[in-house]
Amino acid sequence: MKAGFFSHIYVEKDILEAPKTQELISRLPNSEIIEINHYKDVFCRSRQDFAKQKKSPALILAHKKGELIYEGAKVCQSFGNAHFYYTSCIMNCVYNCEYCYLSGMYPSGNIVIFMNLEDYFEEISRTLLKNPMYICVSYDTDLLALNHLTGVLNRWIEFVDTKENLSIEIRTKCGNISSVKESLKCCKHPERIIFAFTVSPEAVIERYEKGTASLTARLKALAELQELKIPCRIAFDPMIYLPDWKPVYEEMADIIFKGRDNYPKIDCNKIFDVSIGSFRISDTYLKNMRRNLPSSAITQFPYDNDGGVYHYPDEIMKEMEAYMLGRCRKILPEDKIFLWKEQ
Amino acid sequence: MVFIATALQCEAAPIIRACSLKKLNNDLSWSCYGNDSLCLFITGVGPVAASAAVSAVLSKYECSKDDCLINIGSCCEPEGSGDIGSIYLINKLTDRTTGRSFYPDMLLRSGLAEREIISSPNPVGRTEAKSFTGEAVHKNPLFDMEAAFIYQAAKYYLGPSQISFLKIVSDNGIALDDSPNERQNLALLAKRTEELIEEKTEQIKLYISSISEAADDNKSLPGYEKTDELAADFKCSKVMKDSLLQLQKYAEIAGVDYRTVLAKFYSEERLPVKSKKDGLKLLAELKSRLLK
Repeated sequence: MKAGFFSHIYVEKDILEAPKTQELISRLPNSEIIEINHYKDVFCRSRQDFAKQKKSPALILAHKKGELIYEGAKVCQSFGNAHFYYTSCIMNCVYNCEYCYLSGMYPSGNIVIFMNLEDYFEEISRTLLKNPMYICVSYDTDLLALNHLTGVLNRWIEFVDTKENLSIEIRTKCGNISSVKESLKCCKHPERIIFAFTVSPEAVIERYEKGTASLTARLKALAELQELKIPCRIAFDPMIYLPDWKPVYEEMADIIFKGRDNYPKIDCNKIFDVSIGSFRISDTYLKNMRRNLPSSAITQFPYDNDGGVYHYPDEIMKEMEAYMLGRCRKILPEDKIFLWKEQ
Repeated sequence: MVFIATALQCEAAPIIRACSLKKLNNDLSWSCYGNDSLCLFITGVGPVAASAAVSAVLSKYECSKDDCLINIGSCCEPEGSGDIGSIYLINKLTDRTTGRSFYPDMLLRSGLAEREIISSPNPVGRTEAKSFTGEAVHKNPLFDMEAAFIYQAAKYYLGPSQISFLKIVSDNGIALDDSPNERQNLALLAKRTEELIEEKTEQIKLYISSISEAADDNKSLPGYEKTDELAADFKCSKVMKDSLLQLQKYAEIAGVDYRTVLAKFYSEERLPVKSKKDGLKLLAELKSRLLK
């Protein structure tokens, strides 16, 4: 029998007694606590089995040192923001998406939470003296999905409210906003907190996005956020190839843009923007993913390699992206549609 | 294969009996016992013997990601009172000589209580052991002479989810170092250790069985036997052959019927191709047909 989520919590000895650490530990009373010197002693061990760890992930509580905020990478969509940054106060995700680049990027399926969020805020405050910032805070994790445990997102929302010229993007596949609802209601600048929902057809969610919220739940959460005047982005990215991808994505687009009985209705006029991109991945990450998930149709797909980036064969890639682009153009103005292309 | 390492014959004997293991004839310097799915070997005492044995056995049997190693043995608990005979699954191992700690993955719900252990090259007396327990990083640890060394040797062959440690408390730090009848004490301790492990064989067997089941989840994908033949018919270069293999793998996993397409190519006498150029074209057509 598998050990289950967070059956073990590894804690750096220097932060074990810190109130925030103890508070988090107290929310997991049945977990075994193991003291460690440094998070890398557990997270960076060689020959880890990412796939097995993802099924029973351990939690690692640590103190992050060094650089905390990074300039946006070229492979990431900047949405027209000149000062685009990202940060990882949590590494790894509770969800288990087969196509996720994290399985190619990290040596471990365990989840690391850096407890010194105040240090992140200090670094941001210093940078804000020089220029405005647009920060993606939920790239290498899903902060909303873990928020009931960590409260990290509430702290981000409160921090954004204290800083001018700071906007954050919270990317998620979670369908439950109850843990942030009160913080968002109290927020004076909701326009600077952008929730980005990655959406996929139910067939893709069932096959390849294990543990994530259904399309219905994601749309319900999105609709609730729209009511709270929170800008919501829809990410049709990554689009995942299935032999019958067209009717499957057509149905999803109909549900989102036209509405359908039994599905929450979102207000298309209030969609902040959309991003579109078919699945692509760096060759290094795909190599690791093929080793970690040898039986996956996603990792073993015969991709084309262009300059170190694997993508679907041109014909499939262009057809998928053009289809979704066409659907979005019927609803949204051009300046709200971002088609991924390498910078 | 589940490999079981014990330091002493008295630790191995109850497991050999419980699992009906037979003596294996091989050219190794360590006694090995086994059946179809288990291989138990007796390492000898201390870091050098344990590391050498682990390395030799895992090399000899060409262990892979489908295999795992369990170190089963006795340990001392200097802080304990009346805990003799308790069995623990170890979640943290510290090499006393370097101070480095190691963490096997704890991915199974075994039902066993967990503890950390400190491994020392020499027997640790009760007084000496107690000096460790005051350190913040060590919470009432167990002590032995092999576990952390076995981990360090095994990690060259296996990942942290493939290595685990079951320890049975045999004493509270018997003062071997200051006893005039050390040999007699050792003999008594060996006898007592065998009895204590005997009492825990059902739990040990259950743990071995759960480890075996978990390892089965990890079976490697089968190879594609006819790839060489097919690659020759396509007149494949190395890169083309890799593409063909990738296409085959994907088709198998995704349930795409590539065999019918290939059969058609053969029946239309388009395969085998006449030149590498034709092969390249036909491979592109195969890919296009399979990814329609």
